Amino acid sequence: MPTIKSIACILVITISGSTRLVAAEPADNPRSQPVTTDQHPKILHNANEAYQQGDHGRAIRLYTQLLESGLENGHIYYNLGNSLLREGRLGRSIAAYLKSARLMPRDQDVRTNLQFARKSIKDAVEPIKPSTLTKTLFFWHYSLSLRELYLVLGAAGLLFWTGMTIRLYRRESEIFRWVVMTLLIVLLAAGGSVATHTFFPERIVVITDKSAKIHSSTNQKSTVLFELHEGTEAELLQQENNWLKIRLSDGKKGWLQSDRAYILQ
Amino acid sequence: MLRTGHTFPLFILLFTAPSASAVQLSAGLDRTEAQLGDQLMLTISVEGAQQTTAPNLPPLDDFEVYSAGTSTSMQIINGRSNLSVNHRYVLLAKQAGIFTIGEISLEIGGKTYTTDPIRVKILPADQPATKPQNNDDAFITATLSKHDLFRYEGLVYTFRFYQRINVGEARPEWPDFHGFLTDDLGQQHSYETVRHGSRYVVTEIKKILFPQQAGTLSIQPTKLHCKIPVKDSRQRRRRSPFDDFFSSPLDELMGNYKLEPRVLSSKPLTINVRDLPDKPEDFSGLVGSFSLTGDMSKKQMQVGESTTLTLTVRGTGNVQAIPEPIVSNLEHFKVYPDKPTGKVNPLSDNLSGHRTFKKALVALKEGRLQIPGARLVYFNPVSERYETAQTPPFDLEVLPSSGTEELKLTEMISPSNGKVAVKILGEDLLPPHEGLASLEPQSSTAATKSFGLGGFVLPGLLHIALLLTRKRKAALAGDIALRRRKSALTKAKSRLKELRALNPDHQKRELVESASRLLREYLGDMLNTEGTAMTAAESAELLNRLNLRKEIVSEVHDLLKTLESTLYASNQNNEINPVQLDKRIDHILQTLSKEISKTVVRS
Repeated sequence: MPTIKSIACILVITISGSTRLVAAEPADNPRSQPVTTDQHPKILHNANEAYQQGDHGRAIRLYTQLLESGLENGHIYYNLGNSLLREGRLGRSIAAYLKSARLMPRDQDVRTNLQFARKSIKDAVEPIKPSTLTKTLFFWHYSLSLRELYLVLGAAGLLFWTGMTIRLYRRESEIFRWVVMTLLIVLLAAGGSVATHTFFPERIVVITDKSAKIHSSTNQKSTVLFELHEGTEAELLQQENNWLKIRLSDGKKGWLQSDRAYILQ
Repeated sequence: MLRTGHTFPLFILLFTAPSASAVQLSAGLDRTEAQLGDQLMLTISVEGAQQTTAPNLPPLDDFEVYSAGTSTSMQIINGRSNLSVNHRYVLLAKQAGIFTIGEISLEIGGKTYTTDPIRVKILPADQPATKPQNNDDAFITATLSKHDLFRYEGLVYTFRFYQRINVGEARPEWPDFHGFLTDDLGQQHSYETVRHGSRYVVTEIKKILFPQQAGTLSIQPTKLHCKIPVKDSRQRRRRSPFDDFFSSPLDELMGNYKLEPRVLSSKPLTINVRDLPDKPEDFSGLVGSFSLTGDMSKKQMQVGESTTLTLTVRGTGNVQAIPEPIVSNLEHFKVYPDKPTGKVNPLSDNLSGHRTFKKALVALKEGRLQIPGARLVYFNPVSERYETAQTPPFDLEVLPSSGTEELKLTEMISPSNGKVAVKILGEDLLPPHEGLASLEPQSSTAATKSFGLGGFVLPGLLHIALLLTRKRKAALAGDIALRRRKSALTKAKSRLKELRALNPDHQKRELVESASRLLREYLGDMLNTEGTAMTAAESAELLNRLNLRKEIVSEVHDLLKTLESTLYASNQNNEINPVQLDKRIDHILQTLSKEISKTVVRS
């Protein structure tokens, strides 16, 4: 169960808006006018062309421009991850792939490129991921995006309650009873997943500096417990001022300066 | 009987509270002279403090620092207890030289304690330390089969892990082998050996390295993270006559040891890589010893028929990089190359293997044709010369075509080749997604959330409302008293409307009679009894049983009484005023409905 501290931490992260993958950079639009939906196809085309021509810096700027205009799309994050990796920004590319995987959890390309990027990580630390048993038991939680879960929840809710209402007026058959029971199970599964995503979100930290020292406390003079390198993923436990308390998959814990990592919500 | 063996130490502990002695902070290394690659154990002891935070280490840029945990021990001497906390760190020097570990500080109870600086001498890797390494229960070594070699020439990197005791959770951390292509050389294997009079279990892992650049190349140390059982100082105590009697064999076997994390390190290694001498134009890039054989499946055929040319390169060296041998003078043939097949076998000190290349050759011209022998130029590091492996020339007799031209290509894809595992030759990113699907929002928007939560909650609420309505209807259908009470007011009001339609002057009797019946039937419905024959006294009695207000009871009683008098008695003094009658009845109906409903709900 999350403590009040960790809930406060979620709020702090949400409010602080630390979700920008790439630091603010000059966009192609010199007057920095807000991007409208009509401009999206052109910007996407230019970004893809820049990537194909090897101008990855421009591709990054354009993909970021699309994301900052409010377009949350897994394909854009995936393309941004590719461009960042080509630019040698391993940590941020892994963060982009992780964002993409959250929006498109079944996309094989995202998984392949994420695995490819992870091969360049120096630290022999396994990324934070659920066990195979957990993934098998709660397959819908890991194979559906939050948007899809909401849609399943709404559709299953409508169908289930309609079925329950029909039961009031007519004699139900055995098949009908099974259908309603199945809808109830789908409803509970989707509801549980939505609640888990909402109240206990997975909080991952990806190291974005070439190397980052992990301290024993929120003080730069405190003991350096270990050192992590770019791209290594850890679980975020707590946030205090400019420090993040993290835990690696092997259980090692420590404090990291927040400007050395990207927080994935 | 008192069980002295286990209760005695507990008894002592209970009656010896930790004494408030002065706090002492000290730091020490397990040795002050070591070789590059040896690990040093830095122990910081805090005595006389119950709880401490981690000490503040000075900047240790010349070392890699790993925490090796914290231990606490308590000693009781003459009834005085002394608590000490040991913080342990593993230090690995990055370079040789004399270094000073500065003051280590720790704040306890608002006061800062510091230790004295410690000097440590790190000797180069090949220079033995004057003192032997004191912790040789487990150590690792890394050796190379060659230190001077040519570019692309293979050398074997052998990692050995010696353990005299059982070491747990061992995990090697390999260097990045910058400037080399690497491959595993067989599986890891274990054997026993005797070293300095002690028997060790050795785990050996070999890798083959192919330097890709000339010059002096260095290989960083391999590290091994593990947990080593060490004697637990907390378990030590003075032996008493009771010990032999009460100590269990299991305690002797298990209790006196604890696992302590360690990082073992090998020595850094350097090699001298010589560049290859002037390369001939057709140099294949192979370094080692290679041979080439060739075969033609048919030596006589017709125009349009095919023959298979098979070339096999065998050898020792960088066999993964075997290219196709050069075959020239094939202008009279149509060439269909097949996928090369091959195998790589690890030897004890190198890689051996072969690769077979097949081509289907379809003759386009008749006559006696000669294909010159295939060639492969490689560098032999033993002779330090470029050598050429080649096959003899291939002679073919091509006859004129006997019928229609038919290309028999089946020979090329010979099933006898067998299937081979796909070898990954390179990896790269998958390309970007360029479709317009990239412009569809995929996050959970307010509309999606509303649909999800609305679909989950709203139909449920509607269903519950429907369920309650049906329940209420069912309750009404089964409960006559409730049904009568619920419909009493409506029925009475409808009768009251009819009553108002009567003319008080001409239809006075009908008016009074209707009013009396309306009121009695209303009371009958509300109280679930026969109302038509109810008298004023009976109605007052029934209403009193419900503990209604006296005023309303007497109002009902009085009105009924007056109506009865008007109808049946000759006393004209009690006659009712028909003009105000409907208002009085309406007031009674409203008040009684509220009061009786409240009373019924309460009961």
